[in-house]
Amino acid sequence: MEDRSDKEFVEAVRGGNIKAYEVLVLRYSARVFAVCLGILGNVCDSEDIAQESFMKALDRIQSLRDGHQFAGWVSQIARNLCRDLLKSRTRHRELLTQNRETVHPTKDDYSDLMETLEALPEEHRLPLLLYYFDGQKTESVAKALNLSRAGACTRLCRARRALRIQLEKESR
Amino acid sequence: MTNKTCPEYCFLLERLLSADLDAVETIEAVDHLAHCATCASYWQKLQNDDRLLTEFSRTMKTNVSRIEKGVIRSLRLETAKNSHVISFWRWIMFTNWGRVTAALILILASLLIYSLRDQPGPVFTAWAEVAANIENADTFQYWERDLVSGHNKKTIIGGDLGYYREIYRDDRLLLREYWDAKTNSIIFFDDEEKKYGYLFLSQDQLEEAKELDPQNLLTRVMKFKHYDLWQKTVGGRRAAGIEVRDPSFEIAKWDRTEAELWVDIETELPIRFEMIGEAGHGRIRRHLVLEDFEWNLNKTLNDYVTGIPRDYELIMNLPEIVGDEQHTIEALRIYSRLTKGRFPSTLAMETALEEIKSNFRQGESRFRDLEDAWNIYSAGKFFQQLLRDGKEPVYFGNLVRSGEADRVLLRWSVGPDRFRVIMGDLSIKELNSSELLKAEY
Repeated sequence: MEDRSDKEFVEAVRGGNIKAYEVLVLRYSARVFAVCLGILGNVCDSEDIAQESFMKALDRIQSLRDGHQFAGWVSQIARNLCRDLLKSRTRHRELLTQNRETVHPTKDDYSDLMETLEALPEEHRLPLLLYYFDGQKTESVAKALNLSRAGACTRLCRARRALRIQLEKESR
Repeated sequence: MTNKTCPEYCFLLERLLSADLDAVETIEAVDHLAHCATCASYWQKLQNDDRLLTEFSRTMKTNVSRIEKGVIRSLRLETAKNSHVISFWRWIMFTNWGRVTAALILILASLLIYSLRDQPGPVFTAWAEVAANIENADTFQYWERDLVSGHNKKTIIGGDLGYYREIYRDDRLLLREYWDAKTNSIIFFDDEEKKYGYLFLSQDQLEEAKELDPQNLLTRVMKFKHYDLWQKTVGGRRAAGIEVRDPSFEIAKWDRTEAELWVDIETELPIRFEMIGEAGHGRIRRHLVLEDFEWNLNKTLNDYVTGIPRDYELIMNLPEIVGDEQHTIEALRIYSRLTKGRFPSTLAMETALEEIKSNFRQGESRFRDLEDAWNIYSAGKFFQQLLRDGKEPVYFGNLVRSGEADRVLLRWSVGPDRFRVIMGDLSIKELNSSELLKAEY
């Protein structure tokens, strides 16, 4: 089952087999969530947008030219939806601050880390979350961000460095 | 070795953490670490960050799993809805008859709404009197219509004496039953088969029955936060209504409820109660209507209760229902034996029992096996309990035949990424999500 390619599942979905779409959801939910969290920095919103992304992708699946590109395509949909949400929230920073008490399910252990990640610019936060949420593979980062492997590697290195600097800044 | 500076080695170390170095670069980086305390310290910190992020991503697995469940639930709901909606929509949009019919329906509906629209009327404030009237009612009758299972029950409540009930499927009388409150027993009669049986209620079942007694249910509804509805005519009588959405008013612990209670403004007694309850993300649903109330009858319960006819045969003393894993497996085993290898299509209790009964009518099983078949209630009770506990059970009884060891019959969640599974051969397994995915598809 897991060996079958995205293209086969996309074709099955186009043929009316919705069960096949469930497999794609299970395969890429972590990646899409990471994309959303990387952009929005807010767990609750990220869950909602990730779900919406998959439903929107299903609606538009007939327009996907190459089924192999499903992962990048659904990630792009998620990024667009996140940007729409941010645009619609002129005060989103304030909202994030207001929501902070409720959005972190692991507040006791990881709220500091989450705050540090939120403080990073998106270009650093996104590759980091993608790497750790989606199997710790540079290829996943590359695919989700439409980058070359080397490009993804560079972004990841910069992100690690930025995180380290931010953590040190906060520990002072 | 090359003459790299420390910042350049730092870049190598960052790549080393992502396993992006080839063998030569790895040796170079490790060799440098052995000689440079600054870079060794930086490497140590990078590793700590890596550990922290790895652990953090693990804690987010529940969020990812919530996304998966949410999307899959929406997909299944969409699939169920679309199969009906799409064909209807196409008919409207792509046929002349469809368009004309839709237009006519809209016009007629507008006229009907205009002519029948309800007036707000004065605000009804006598809810305390309604509650007192319900509590003081002696003998009363009502119809309970289960719009999901299709069962209709006519019940006469006789105060502390118990109740008498007739259970219908469509217009066919399936069972009559009489609850004797003194002995906590239910005697039931199958008049078609000329059989009767007893069921003794446990203390838990007794408490549950009391909670569901309309006298308790209706008075409890009024105590919860409610919203006044516009007055309207119900069953030819002017009625005031309230709406309650707090799921805790009912013992069943639904995730979501909507309930409306309508009372006769003149008599200040209920005339209709409708409740929709959903649990387990919509997989278990109840749509109940209590209506056609007749309060304070000039009869006692004894007027309805008949003795046991002489030609009726005692079929069983039914055991207490225990809803746990072991009894569920036993119940499914018995069911498949009685039905030549099938499992009930759902674990909704009435449906399962009726499926068995239908097999008896077709001569596939003997009536005395019905006592065994009673155990199927255990499976239904267990399934409902799993739903209420949020363990997300899924049952595939209409897809699996007895003995199919590689097919999932029933599964539920027992922890993060762990599922307990009853297979088609009734063996038990514990699987993670990817193993479960393979087994289910």
